[in-house]
Amino acid sequence: MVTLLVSRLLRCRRQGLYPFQNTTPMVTCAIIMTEGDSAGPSRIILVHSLGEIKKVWKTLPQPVRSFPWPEALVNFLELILGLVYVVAKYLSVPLLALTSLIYFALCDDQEGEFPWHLVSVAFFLILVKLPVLVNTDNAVWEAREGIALSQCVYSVLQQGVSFVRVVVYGELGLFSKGRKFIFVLNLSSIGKESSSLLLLDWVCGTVNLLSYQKRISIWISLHKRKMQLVRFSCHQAPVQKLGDSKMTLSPKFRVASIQSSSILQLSIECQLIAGGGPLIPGLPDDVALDCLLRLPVESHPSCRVVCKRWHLLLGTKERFFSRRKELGYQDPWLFICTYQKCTSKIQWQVYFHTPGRNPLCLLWHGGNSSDLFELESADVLDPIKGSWHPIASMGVNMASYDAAVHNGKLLVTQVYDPRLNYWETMSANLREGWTGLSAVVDGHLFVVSEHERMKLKVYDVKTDSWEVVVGSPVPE
Amino acid sequence: MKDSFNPSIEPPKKTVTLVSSDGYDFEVEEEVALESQVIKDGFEDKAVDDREYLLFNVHSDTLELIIKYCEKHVSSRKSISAAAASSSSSNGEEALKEWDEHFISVDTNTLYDILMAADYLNIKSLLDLAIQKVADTIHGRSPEQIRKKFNIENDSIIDPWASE
Repeated sequence: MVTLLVSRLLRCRRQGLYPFQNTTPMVTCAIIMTEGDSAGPSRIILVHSLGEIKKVWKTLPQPVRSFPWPEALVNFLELILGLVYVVAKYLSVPLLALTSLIYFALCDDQEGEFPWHLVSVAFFLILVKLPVLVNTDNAVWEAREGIALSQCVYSVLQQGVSFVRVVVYGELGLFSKGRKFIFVLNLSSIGKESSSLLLLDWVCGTVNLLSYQKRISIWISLHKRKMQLVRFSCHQAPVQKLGDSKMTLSPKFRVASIQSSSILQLSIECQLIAGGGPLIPGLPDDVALDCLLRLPVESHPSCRVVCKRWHLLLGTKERFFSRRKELGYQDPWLFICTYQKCTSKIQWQVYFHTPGRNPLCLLWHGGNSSDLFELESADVLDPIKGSWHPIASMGVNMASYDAAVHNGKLLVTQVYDPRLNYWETMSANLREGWTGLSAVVDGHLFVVSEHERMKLKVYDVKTDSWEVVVGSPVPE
Repeated sequence: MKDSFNPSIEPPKKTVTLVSSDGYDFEVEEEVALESQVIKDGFEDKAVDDREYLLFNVHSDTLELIIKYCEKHVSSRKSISAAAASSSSSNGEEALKEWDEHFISVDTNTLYDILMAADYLNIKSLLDLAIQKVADTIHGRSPEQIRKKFNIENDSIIDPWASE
C-alpha cells in the first residue's frame, strides 16, 4: 500500500504537480481507498466480496445449490485420508525391510547397541495394522434395507446352518470399489453364551461393511449343519450419504445369540390360541401341529387355504420352517437374497431340495454391480460335500441376477443344465417375459411382473409362453 | 446246556399291569410296557413293586392296539438283532415297516385314538408313525377334500385358489 502511495506521489511530481493538488476525483478516491486499506475498512471489503459471492451463489442453478457440499467435503476428506492410510499401510513393509537392511549392512560393528529404531518401526507397523484387526472383529452390519436383510439372514439361520457364505458385490468402503468379496459367517462360532457379538470368519477380504454406498447383493447359501438359533436385532442410526436424500436411515443390525427355541414355540402357541378353533378337530393342537409340520412343502399351498388357522400357521414361514428344522425335516436348503438399488428391493428365493432331482443343481452366479463390472463366473454347491466348484462360464456377461431353478435347470438369462455342465440360450419368449421377481412353486415358474402393474405370470414350458394368473393382484 | 443257560440271561418274566380308562386290566411283559417312555420313566423313578399303571386317557380298544404294536416291535427287534448276530440276511426291518403300514391303516377316529395314546404314553416310533399317517392323508388333497376329511370348517376370508 505504501509503495503504491509513494509511486503515485512520485508520478504526480514527475508530472509537475504538487501532491494532493488539482487531483481528479478519481485519483482522490483511489488515494482514499489506498489509505484506508490498512485497518478497519478491510473488513468492509470482505463483507462486500461475501455479498458478491452470495449474489453469484443465488444465480447458480438449483441442483448446484441443493447439492450437499458439506457432506461432499467430508467424503472427499474421507477419501484422501483413506488414500493416505493405504499408502502408509503398503509403504510400511518396504520401509521396515529397507531400514533393517540398512541397519544390518551398515551397523554391523556396533554390536552392543540395542536397535531402538527398529523397535519404533515395528511399533509403527502395529499401529498401522491395528485398525484392520479392529474392523475384522466388528460385528456390526449396515445395510439400507437392513431389516429385510436381517430377516433374510434370520431365516437362513433358522434353517439350521452353521456356515453362511456371503458374496458381496460392489462398493464396500473406500478401498474396494468394484470388487467381489466372499466371506463365510461361521455361525457355530457364535456359541451358546448369550450376549456374544462375535461374528465373522472372513474367508477372504477384510471388508468394512459399514460404508458401502451404491449397491449390494448378498448371496447366501447354506451348509447343512447342526441347528443354531440366532437372532438379529436391528437398530437404526441416521446416516447421511452423498447426494442421496433417501439414504437417511441406515439400520444396523448385529448378531446376538439367543438361548433356545422357546420364543418361537411360544409365539406359535400364542398364534394358535389367537386363531380360534382347533387346528384339526379331534386332536389337540400340539399333536396337530406336529402333523402339519410333517407335511411336505409341496402341499403347503393347498393347505394354506383350508382354513384361517392353517393359513396363519403356514403363512409364517420363518417360524414354521424353523420348527420343521428342529424336528429334522429339511426340504428347503437355499435362500438367495439380492439387493438391488434401482428397484430398492431385497429379492430372495427359496429353492427346495427334492430328493429325486439332481442334488447339484444349485449355484450362484455373477451379478452386475452398478455397471462397473459384470461377472460371468458361477459356482455350484454340492450340498452333500458342502463344497463349491466353479462351473462352465456363461459366455455372456450377466446383467441380471434374478434366477430360478426349474425342471432341474437353472434359469438366469441363460439356461444351465447341471448334468451337462452347459449353458444354453434361453428361449426368447421366456427371457422377454421375465420382467420381475421370480419364484418356482411346484415346478411352475412364476414371475411377478414389475412393468405390467404387478401381474403374476406363470410360464408354460410346453407352449413356450406366459400366462397371466387370474386372481387378486399382488400387493405392491 | 440251553436250559441252564436261559435263566441267567433272561430273568423270570416280569409283568406290568396296565389299566385302561374303562377299567380293563392288561397284563403285559415288562419289556413291552417299557416301549412307552412314560412307563419307563415311572419305572426308573418309583419303587419296583409298583406294577400297576392307570392309563386314564386310553380306552381299552386303543390300549389293545398299542400293546399289539409294542409286542410286535419288541419281538421283531429281537429277531432283527438275532439275525444280525448270526449275520444272516433278513428283511426284518422291511417286514416291520410293512406291518406298521398295515397296522396304521385304520379309520380316522382310530388313528386319532392311537395318536393320542401314543402321545400320552410317549411311544416315539408309534407317534411318528401316526403323525406321518395324518400328514400323508393331508398331502396331495385339495383344500376342499382336506376340510371334508378332517371336518374343518372353512373360515377363510379370501380364497385365492378358488378360481382353480
